[in-house]
Amino acid sequence: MVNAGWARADGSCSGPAPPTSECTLSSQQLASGIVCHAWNGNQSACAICPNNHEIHMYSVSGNTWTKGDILSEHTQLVADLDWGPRTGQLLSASHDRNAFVWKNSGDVWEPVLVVLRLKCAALCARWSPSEEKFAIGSGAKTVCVCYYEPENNWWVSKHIRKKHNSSVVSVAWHPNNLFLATTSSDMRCRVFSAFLKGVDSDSSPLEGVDKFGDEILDLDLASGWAHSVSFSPSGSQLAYVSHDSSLHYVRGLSATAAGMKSGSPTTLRFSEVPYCCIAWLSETSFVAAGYECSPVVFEADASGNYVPIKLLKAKEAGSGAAAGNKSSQFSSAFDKFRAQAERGMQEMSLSDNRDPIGPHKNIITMVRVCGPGKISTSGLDGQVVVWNL
Amino acid sequence: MSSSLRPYLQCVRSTLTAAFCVQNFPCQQVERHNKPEVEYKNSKELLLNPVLICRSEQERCYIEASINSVRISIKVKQSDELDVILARKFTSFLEQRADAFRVMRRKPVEGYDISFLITNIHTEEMLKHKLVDFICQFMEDVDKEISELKLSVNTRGRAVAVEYFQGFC
Repeated sequence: MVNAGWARADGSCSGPAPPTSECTLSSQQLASGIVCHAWNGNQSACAICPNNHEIHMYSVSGNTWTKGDILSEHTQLVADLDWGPRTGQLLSASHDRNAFVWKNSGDVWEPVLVVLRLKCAALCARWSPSEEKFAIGSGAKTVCVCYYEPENNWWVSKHIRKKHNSSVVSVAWHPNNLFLATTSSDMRCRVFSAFLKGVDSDSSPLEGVDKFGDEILDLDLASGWAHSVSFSPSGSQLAYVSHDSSLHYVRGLSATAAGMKSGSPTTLRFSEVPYCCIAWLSETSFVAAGYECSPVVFEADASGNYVPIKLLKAKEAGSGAAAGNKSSQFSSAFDKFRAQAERGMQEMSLSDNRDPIGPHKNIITMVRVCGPGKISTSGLDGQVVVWNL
Repeated sequence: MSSSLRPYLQCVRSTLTAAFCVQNFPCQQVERHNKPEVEYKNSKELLLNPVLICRSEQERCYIEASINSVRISIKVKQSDELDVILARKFTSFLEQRADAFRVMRRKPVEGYDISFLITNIHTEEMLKHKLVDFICQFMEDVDKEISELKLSVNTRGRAVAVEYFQGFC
């Protein structure tokens, strides 16, 4: 077990702060809270769910976001969105047990039915790299892998049953289009074979992994609900975050006939509140964000261990170091007295959790990579922030 | 703030900060339902171990957390019978107006005077650290409130007694 920079094994909250890195960002206030967002292939459009049953489409050019269609086919909260970069189809999963594949024909978005046969809410959705199938995790403790049936013009699903002991909250595809990683609130991360005969090809390109639904890796590293999982771009590394304020990754993943071989897993523990989403930027870095309200980039050091770097908003240009320091001291004192006057009482002496310092003022619900060196985060404060790393 | 109150509230504060990391989580048993797991307790794996923080024998705080909701129950200090009556009247006054507080339960958990139920909807609508502030401020104020009530009851009692006995002397 490895403890990250500022965390301590005994769980104490003091310790050296992580190094920080300043970057420029642009933020958009789009709703009162955003559950999820998805970008199209060339980052010219973004779909968000404003914490209700609707999907709002925005066209994005530079810093201007123009509101487009509102897709309201679902009847309950849209839990996850994913936009296929190649086919341009938008996938949405909702708590009303349904999922839709949205096709843009001309000006209008038309939903294509997905036959999920689920008993409980759909929680997460991801297109496979080939975009011929997709996976939906659900509150019914199952995963659906869906593929298109042109005769009926709908998507049918095949279930992975009886493998999870609780809701499947996140799914991620291996770049080889065969493996599917899931995290569940039973604290585990699993990798399954999602090879569909006839959809992918007639025989599996990997010997031994041709049976659908076979569990090929089971990671039991977390002692809290596992939140989000992600494969690195090459598929040789897998990382997931869990609710016990820890982050787990395995390196050197390779598929063999006997299952999946992996290097020894590593756990990073933190003294802050947990992360709930994770995304890989490259083979040597990934980004995690969550209840802490600001994203943290993890980069591999010389020995291959990941070290955290906290992202901060770059200071406004023009404020000189010395002068800026003095004025910020003055303004912080001024703010303190003004706050006392406004609240009508003394600032609580115990209060150690002040406003979050980043652009997000509430939980970050999703982090996505949107172009080279760029990530986007959406939060329950209703903002989508694009960070230039 | 007395010396024992500070670590007590600090402990409650840091426990709440961790416990308020809740998310929207639909029910696993009933379709299209979304209920606070801490109240229904249908799925064992979605509940966290409850935390009991005690300042003294009479004064304690019980925090039950789950994946989408947190229940906080507070036992207010009651050192004599008058305290018991005052605490009961005071908390029932608040509980009758629980809707106005949004995070308050109409009935306290057994063995406690007052309970709060915070769900993911509250943390979405309100700022998390302000909710923590509110609970801690409430715990601080409720003691103050009751000791002030006690003082005024005693003062009034004394005044009444003086008035009454004046007739005999």
